[in-house]
Amino acid sequence: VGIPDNLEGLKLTNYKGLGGKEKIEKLPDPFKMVEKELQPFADSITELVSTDQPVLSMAAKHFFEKRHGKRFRPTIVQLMAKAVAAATPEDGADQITTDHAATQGIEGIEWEWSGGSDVQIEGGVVTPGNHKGSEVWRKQAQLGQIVEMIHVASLIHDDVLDEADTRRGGEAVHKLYSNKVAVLAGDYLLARASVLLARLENTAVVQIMATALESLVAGEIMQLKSPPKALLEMESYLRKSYYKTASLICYACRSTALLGGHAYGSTVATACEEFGFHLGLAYQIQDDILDFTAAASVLGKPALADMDLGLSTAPILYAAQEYPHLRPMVMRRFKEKGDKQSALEALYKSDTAMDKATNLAKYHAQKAVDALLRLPQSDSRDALIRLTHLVITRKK
Amino acid sequence: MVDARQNRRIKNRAMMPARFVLAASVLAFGSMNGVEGFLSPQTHSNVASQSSERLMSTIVVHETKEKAASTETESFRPNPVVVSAEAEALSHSATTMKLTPSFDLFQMLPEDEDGHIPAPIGGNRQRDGTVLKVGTPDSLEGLKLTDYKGLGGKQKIEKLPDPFKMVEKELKPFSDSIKELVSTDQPVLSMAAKHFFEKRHGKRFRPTIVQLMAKAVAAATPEDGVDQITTDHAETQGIGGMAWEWSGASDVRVTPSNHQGSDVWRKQAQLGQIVEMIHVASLIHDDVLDEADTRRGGEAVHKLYSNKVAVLAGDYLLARASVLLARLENTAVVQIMATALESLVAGEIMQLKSPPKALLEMQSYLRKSYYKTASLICYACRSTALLGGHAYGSTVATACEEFGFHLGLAYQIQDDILDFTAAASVLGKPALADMDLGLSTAPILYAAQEYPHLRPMVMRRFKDKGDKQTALEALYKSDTAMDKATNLAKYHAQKAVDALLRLPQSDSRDALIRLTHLVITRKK
Repeated sequence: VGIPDNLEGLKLTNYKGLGGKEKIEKLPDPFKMVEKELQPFADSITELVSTDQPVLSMAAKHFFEKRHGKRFRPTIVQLMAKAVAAATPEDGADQITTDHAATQGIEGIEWEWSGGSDVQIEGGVVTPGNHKGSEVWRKQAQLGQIVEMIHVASLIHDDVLDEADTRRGGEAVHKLYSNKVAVLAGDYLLARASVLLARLENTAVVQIMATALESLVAGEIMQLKSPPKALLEMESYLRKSYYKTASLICYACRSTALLGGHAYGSTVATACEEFGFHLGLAYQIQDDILDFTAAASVLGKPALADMDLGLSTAPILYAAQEYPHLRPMVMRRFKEKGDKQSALEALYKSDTAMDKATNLAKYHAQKAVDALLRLPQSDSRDALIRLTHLVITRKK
Repeated sequence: MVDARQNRRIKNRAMMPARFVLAASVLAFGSMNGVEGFLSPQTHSNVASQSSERLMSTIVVHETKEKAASTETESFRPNPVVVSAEAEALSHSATTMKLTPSFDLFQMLPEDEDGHIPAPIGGNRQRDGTVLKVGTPDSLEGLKLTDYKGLGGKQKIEKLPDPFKMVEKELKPFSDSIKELVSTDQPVLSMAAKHFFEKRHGKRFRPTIVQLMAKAVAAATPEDGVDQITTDHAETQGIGGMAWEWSGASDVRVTPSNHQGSDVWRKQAQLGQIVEMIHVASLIHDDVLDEADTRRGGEAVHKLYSNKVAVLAGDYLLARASVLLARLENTAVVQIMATALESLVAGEIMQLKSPPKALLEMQSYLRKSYYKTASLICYACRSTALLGGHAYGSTVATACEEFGFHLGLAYQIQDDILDFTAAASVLGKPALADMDLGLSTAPILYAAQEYPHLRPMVMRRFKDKGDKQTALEALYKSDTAMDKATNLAKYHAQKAVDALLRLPQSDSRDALIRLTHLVITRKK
């Protein structure tokens, strides 16, 4: 209200790399913006894993130092923290939720844990002026590191599961060491994350992030044992992508808003989760596209890794919609000789499959931006818009 | 204002040299001497006796004058995890908990084995039970387990209530809910998890303890003024204004009559199930680690299925436990149980990669046993007391944790003894499983104290051909080694009973005494 937004109605497809002419570089660089303030927390992770257990510390360090990932999730959380600091917590949000509870016939719900939005800060309300360096800021930065730890723990455990030979530029942990160490390293990171999460002393956030952890595992289970028919369905694929990738990001975003003093049911918190949800899906779809389009040397992992594991992702699913002969192959997870080759040929032959997949990624990215645009304008919010652009234009 | 204090702390931190100190959670008000002491204990005058060479496990012991003498005899402390002070400081606020490991709160070895009584600090200061028993006679006061049959005496333990029968019915709906929780429509996964809940012979040990403890603490009135005690102490230590708000997480007033069926009771029962889930998850993951062929009567999960499924099943149980734990909506309990989870993993890490010299030391073995077994039980016990309305530093909560600590150690030592004495068919797992994994436990360690030629074998984890045989022969030849191990188990069991006897008498407390007797007299 009363604040002009010069990015109102922004369409990503107006920008270079997505069909338009505008330069995304006009928006702030997301990574540079938070690099310095994340440094002490990132160091703390490196120290956390500098045990005098050489095997264990190498295993964990492997992911924190050698991989090419850009600390994506902590960056998102930090930028989100700043973006919600610029938004005034709504009065009456709790009342809205209580009214809703009453209409649903749920008696006396006080939404007390929305008191997870009680913040310790001078003046009682977070503003861009008092945010940096505050207890709120510290907790949000800690949350970013917690999210990163959970993510890396799941990667390490996934490598035990998938027996992937390489993952993002480094040897998969378990190949270098052993299943034993991989399981332990993942468990250690999870336990450490649990302790840090508990120390946020916010029961709402703990509940939300525990649910995120549960979603991660549920996604792996879905991937392990889906009924064959479900493998063909886009909805099933997207739901699995939600569990495996988007859930952590979107729950982390909503938690960031709660830590910043916004109520669970508020416009701000909802916009945050919506952004995280769509961004996570866009990220995963782009990842799946790159599995086909990027060469192994660029991506750091062999192309067609998903098909090798029997997984069908967006491009193949669209191709299977067009070419029915692919469907039995999808359902048997490309088990038979020549299956993968046929599927690939059909994909290249199709005029539309890859485009459809790209459009799906663009769709979700645009929805993420639309959610962001509901927040008041700030440098950090604009940096998140630029980050969304990057997610779907990246080549690796 | 909290904010100002935090800003000051951040400034102080930035000025400290980037020192790589060994740190983890420490109970602040008992051990801290201001922020500076927390950040760089080596420079603090009271901790001069602690050299940096003495690597510690996950804690930094900030020594008050009382403690300085007692820790001088600390020998090598294996160090599974190192966390810098800066990293620890980033995660703490004015009200978060800094837990001291229980082996620094309670005694781990008898005095005649170089053990010492830990000095009173925050987590163990209140250990006088008389305040709880004013006007109430205790028919079991001064009970000695060795007076009972099976441990050298004549008294019948059956006079005390049966622990398992007592809580069987009320635990049933919760254990059913676990079965449903793991009844996913993922047949492989649900079989894997069900495997442990249905087919193994374990008696739901941990939920039983938690449930009995819940009843026992319901019979004890929460002490008034405990919060004031802890606040006063905090002030004398120079930590101004620490409100110990999380002790107020115990804002309930429980009595034995209003306990059953109450929200408090429900949460405590849920905690028992959470503990069981965490325990089973660690077992499943351990089987990936240990590649044990059988465990307690069932095929190890991963042999039946695959490493893949075993890792997933364990992760699923842990995630489920985390969600349920969060729903207890008690920040103190969440912090304590998260630390328990961290301890479990730390114990596994210690077992994986201890320096050879550490393998010989009883303290090291006991500390590892604490991390792997006792930590979960003792933290669960203290959490039960907190859920029941008792403050963290109260006599009741301290007695609960002390009981759990000693019971856990007694359980583990007995387990290690049985590894030698029970045949595979009775135990459900092959005897000498520990030696096969290269692990040296109490009996062998005592034998190695007597027969020096065993020591290199212990240090190389019985790798050479004939090592295990030689060690076994020495153990059987020794008149004292097995007895010493048995006595150590009895010592801890008695200490557990002593802690229990500080609580007011109740059927559930007496049932726990009987359970302690069972723990060290069981044959499998």
